[in-house]
Amino acid sequence: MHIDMPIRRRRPLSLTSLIDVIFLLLLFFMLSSTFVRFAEVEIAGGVASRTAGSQTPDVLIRLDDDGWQVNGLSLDADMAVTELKRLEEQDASSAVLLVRGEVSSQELVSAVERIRRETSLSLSVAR
Amino acid sequence: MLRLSRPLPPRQRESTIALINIVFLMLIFFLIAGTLSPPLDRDIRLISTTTAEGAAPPDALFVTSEGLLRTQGELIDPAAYVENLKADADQEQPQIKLAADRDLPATRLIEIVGTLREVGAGRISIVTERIAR
Repeated sequence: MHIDMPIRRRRPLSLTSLIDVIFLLLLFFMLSSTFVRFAEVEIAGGVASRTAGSQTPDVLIRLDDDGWQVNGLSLDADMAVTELKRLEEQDASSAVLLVRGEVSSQELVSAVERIRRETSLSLSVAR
Repeated sequence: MLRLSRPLPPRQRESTIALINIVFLMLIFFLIAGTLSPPLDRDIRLISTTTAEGAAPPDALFVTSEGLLRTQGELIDPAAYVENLKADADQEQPQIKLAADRDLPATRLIEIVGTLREVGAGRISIVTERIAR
């Protein structure tokens, strides 16, 4: 005798486990990702007494609490960059940035970035 | 006459499809817009720049505003850090990324750069965050 098996109806797939996994992934990516865009500024040089002696720099820039000094001239930031461009046209190729006083790292890096951007002097920093 | 309340209609279950849709959208957003990065030191406010070259999220040596060197939340001295890098990367002059606090005195920063050079570091760069202008 031939007996028909009853047709089993498929139950819809449970979504709970799917949501669990997706929630986990979401949490992971929310907590571990960052939206900060990073950048790098290279710093050449170091403590003055140890790096000097290889060659004398063409331009000496001093950065202190009162502002910039380029080869002894006290200037504000814009004037200093103009002066650096002028010196560069007169075949200056290397510059040393000296830091004095209470200058913060932010100011130092901003200055280095600006000089790199607007001139092509090879720049090193010293204390 | 006695009033009988009608039996309430059975409540329909909230559909989970809408919920999954939103969660999926958020997942895709974070996948695409975010960048995975090694954890940064919480006490440090990175120096901000506008035009410097972009870089991948760094595994950096952190310098607090008091001039203390930290990596992965623990104090470390420059020689040990450079030694670790040399051992890991198998390079003579490992490249070092410094993430300094913006209020760190610049003289101290240069001192640290000098010390790192002395103990055998190669290229040293400062990690900054790029802000839109």
